Amino acid sequence: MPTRPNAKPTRAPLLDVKGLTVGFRSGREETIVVHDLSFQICEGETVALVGESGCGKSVTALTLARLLPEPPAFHPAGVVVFRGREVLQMSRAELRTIRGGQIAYVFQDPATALNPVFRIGFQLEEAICAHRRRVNARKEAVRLLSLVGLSDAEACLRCYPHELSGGMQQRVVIAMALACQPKLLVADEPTTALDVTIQAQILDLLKSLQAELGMAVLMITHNLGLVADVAHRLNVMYAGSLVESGLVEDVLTSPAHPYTRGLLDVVPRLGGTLERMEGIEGVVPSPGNRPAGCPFAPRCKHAGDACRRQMPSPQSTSGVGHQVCCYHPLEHAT
Amino acid sequence: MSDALTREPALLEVSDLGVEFSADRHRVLRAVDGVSFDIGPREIVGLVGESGCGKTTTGNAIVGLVPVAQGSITFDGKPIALQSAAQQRQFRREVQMVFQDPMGSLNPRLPVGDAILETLYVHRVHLGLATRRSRQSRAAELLERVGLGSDFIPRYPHELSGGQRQRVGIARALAVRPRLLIADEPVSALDVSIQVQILNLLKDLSKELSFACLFVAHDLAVVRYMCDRTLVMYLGEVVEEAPSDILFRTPSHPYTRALLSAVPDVDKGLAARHGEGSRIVLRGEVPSRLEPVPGCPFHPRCPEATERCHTERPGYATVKDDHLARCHFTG
Repeated sequence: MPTRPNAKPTRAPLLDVKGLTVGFRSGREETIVVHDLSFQICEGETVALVGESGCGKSVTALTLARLLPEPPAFHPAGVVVFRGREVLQMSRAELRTIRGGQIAYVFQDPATALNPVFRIGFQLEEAICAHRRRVNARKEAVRLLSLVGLSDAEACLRCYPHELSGGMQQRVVIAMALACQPKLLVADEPTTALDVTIQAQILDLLKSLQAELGMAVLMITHNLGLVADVAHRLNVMYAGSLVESGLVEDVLTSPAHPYTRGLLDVVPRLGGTLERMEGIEGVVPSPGNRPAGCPFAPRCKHAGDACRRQMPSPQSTSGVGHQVCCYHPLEHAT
Repeated sequence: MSDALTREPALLEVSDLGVEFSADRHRVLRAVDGVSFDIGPREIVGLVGESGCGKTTTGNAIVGLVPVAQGSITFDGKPIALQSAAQQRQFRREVQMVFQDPMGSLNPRLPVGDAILETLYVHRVHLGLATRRSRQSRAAELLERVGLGSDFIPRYPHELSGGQRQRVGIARALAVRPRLLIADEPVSALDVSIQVQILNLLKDLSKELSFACLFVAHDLAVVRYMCDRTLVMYLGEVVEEAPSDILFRTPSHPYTRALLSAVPDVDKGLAARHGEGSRIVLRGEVPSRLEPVPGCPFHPRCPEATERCHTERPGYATVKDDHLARCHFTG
């Protein structure tokens, strides 16, 4: 298990996102997909961003290193401060130093993250040389591949991506992300495309690498089981807004937002009783049809008039740093 | 395999099923190898395993989408290989499929109502519905059954959400009143809050319309929620079979145990934070199917493998009653 970080960070956070709003322009139409999002990541901790498809979690992840093409993407409000510098104001040259160098990404599908026409060795050495001088790239590539648990590193360097299995490809992608010793690793659904036994291997690898290298990890996922397994803190998103955040233990054992409660209730479990689960009625609103007020109000049993008028601001609950955006947070007898 | 005498006569019996694909000129890939099981009337049976284990191929072989190389399939007491053309048509009507990707399995140019009625035309059961109005009302009735209204009849698949499309897929399969539904990963393309809606729908319909279901999936928690009985497949073989509550409480085969332990689970993850329980992480990956593994197919990854497992292929052993496992060290 990862060591527990202090609940209250004493140092300045590695990444501080405040009021981030991201939208896309198409012609004269503007669609906002991430609304007023705030969260922090401290050095060495794993923070999870959880939500269903279309909730804006991947857009958030890509915005951290400005990987979305602008236009169509734009950010009308908010700041992203990474190690004391404002990412949204950076020049291209500045962005180039943090992309891959300090913020590295691992995406869902390793087969599309690797270039099919080049050997693994070439692609890995290219990543190393992009940010680091005076290293023996070949030697470093071998070291990285053994770090991610590929035993026959030399042979692997000579392979093309299609010669490797999905699990091995994802290990190569992780090795590539680690090539420049990033401070923050953004893992966007890194195991969704993999089988469970391979997923377990990759999760263990990410955990041990994090302990060894001391980097922070932002884990983007829809799987709450995976969050319980790897993350320290958790942010739950719904329809572009952050609805609840806090330590994983607090949020998963005493969820305060009805959506988080609902999500926990609809995930089939391996243990416990087999009672009938009731799904969350209705569907996630598409970004263009976001209702006024709290986006979850139309599907929420507790919603009142205030919920339909204005988005509630974050308020603290009993847990340390546990915040919820809801007018009617769920009470827990603890 | 299981003692059929204690239950109602099986609706579907699969015995020693084998499916082969030719990989190239010299080699054959044995995708399904000696699979036997049965499904009782109104029973929901889960077929679970990792990608490439042969679970989808097994489902496809039952409906005849891939040729059967070995073994027999018996439906309602009649071996399907020996049926007349008319009987085969009836078999194809009585066994229907729901696929994983509802966008891929619906014709993008066919409105939902027509997509459902097409099944009726194919199976010539529309003849009882002489007028256009009676056919429309049958389509509306089916759509209402799956929780959609008759206003969906003129809509095209691209106008629907993933969950709605899957409901249409189910309505289409049920249009001809099947007795067995083969659902191949019906919820894995859907978001979690929608998954449960579809699972509940399938469960309820199976009771109301009394059809049996072969539920193919990779998500163990979903299978536990859905199925009366569960079969675990590895490398084309069924390695364990038991009623779901027994299988998930006391898994016997080392592969099943590793699989269960590998699934990220909220309760398990929270327990692990207090230092309880540990995960079995299997070494290595699923071996290639082109080079047969001698002995037990799982031995290269098995944490408990012994000398015997390297050479001798285990047969089915009874763990207890109708709980079977294919391992030398059970029972």
